[in-house]
Amino acid sequence: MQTEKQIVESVRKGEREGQDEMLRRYANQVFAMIVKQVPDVMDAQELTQDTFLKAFRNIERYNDRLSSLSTWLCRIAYRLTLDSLKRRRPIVVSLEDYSVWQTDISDEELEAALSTGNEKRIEKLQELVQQLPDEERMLLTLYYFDDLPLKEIAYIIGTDAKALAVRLYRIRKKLYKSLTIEH
Amino acid sequence: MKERFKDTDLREALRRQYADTPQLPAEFMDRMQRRKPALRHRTLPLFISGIAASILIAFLLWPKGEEAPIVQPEQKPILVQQTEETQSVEDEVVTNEPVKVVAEARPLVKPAKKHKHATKQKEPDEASDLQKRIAELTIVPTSADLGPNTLRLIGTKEPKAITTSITEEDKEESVPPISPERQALVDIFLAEEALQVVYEQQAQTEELRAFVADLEGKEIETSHFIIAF
Repeated sequence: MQTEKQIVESVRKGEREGQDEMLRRYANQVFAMIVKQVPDVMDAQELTQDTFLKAFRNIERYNDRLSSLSTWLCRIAYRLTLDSLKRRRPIVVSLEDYSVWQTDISDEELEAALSTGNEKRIEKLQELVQQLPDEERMLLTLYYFDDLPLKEIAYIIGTDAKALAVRLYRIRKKLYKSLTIEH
Repeated sequence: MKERFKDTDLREALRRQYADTPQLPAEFMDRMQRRKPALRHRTLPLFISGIAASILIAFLLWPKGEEAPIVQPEQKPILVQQTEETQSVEDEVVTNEPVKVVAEARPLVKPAKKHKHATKQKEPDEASDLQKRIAELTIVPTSADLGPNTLRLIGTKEPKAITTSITEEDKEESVPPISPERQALVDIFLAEEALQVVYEQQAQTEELRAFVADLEGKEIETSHFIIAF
């Protein structure tokens, strides 16, 4: 059983065994992350392959002190997926309700409002998540579905944890506002 | 801020949304194995393009001073031009020997070039031939024109032959353009050389005239022409 460091060293040497091991170990995780955002399976596979090819090419840039290998791969996958979605989807100008930002609501109040167990509310949230911009939807997926820590998500999307927390707060507040408007 | 929010509704919504997420197909690894060689094929053009780019940059940044010198065949350097002109004049003097030819072709009785001293003086008839001869001899004679006695009396002074010679190699050698100061020095040097020749010829003429006058028992005016710079 090769360690992550050994896999990286093997890939850096250009050995096929290292590449195969990296694929076996992380391909499913990377694919799962991509396929949540890209509906077409073939496209998701293509993006997964691109992610690994890019990783093999740029393996010298990988720094094990900044992140784990899987997080680094997710970071590559995140950018490739976003680029792909931007190319495929038409630009949508969302007319956001800017009164959302003026609403003064604490994290605790938001948490309570988004944890009711109401079936209708869950279904409504499912719809609202689909309407979110790609970046926000990916962020929610990484946070709520993949349960990645804030620091790790921040590395994947290329920001810092504080900024990410603010961003997350705004998304949650936007969802809450949408729910209250509907009712 | 809390590290993790419950947000169970939102969490459940996402779980339902991605519950039926497809798994990675089994043929993915085979496809990936097929695409792996593409990695090597992609690196080769990158390598080649890198070399091409570096060559282009090197070509663009190559210092212009190291290029071949610009040859201007139509315009020769000033020094060479002047030297060649001087040489052509000197060649005429040395090779054609105009003085000797004139002295031989013309009879001594025929007046050739009127000397101002000779024209002013009105001597008796018996001395007219001699005066004409003196006028002829104002042209600088060579040692062949002068008899052995004359040479003995006036010493070994002869019209100074220019010894400057320019070889073909010197002509072919490209001389870079010189500064105006150096050009001025070259001009002065050439002028001095020319004046020295004139002065020596004049001195010989004076000596010869004095010698002839001495033979005739007459006193003639000696010119005290001084070449001063």
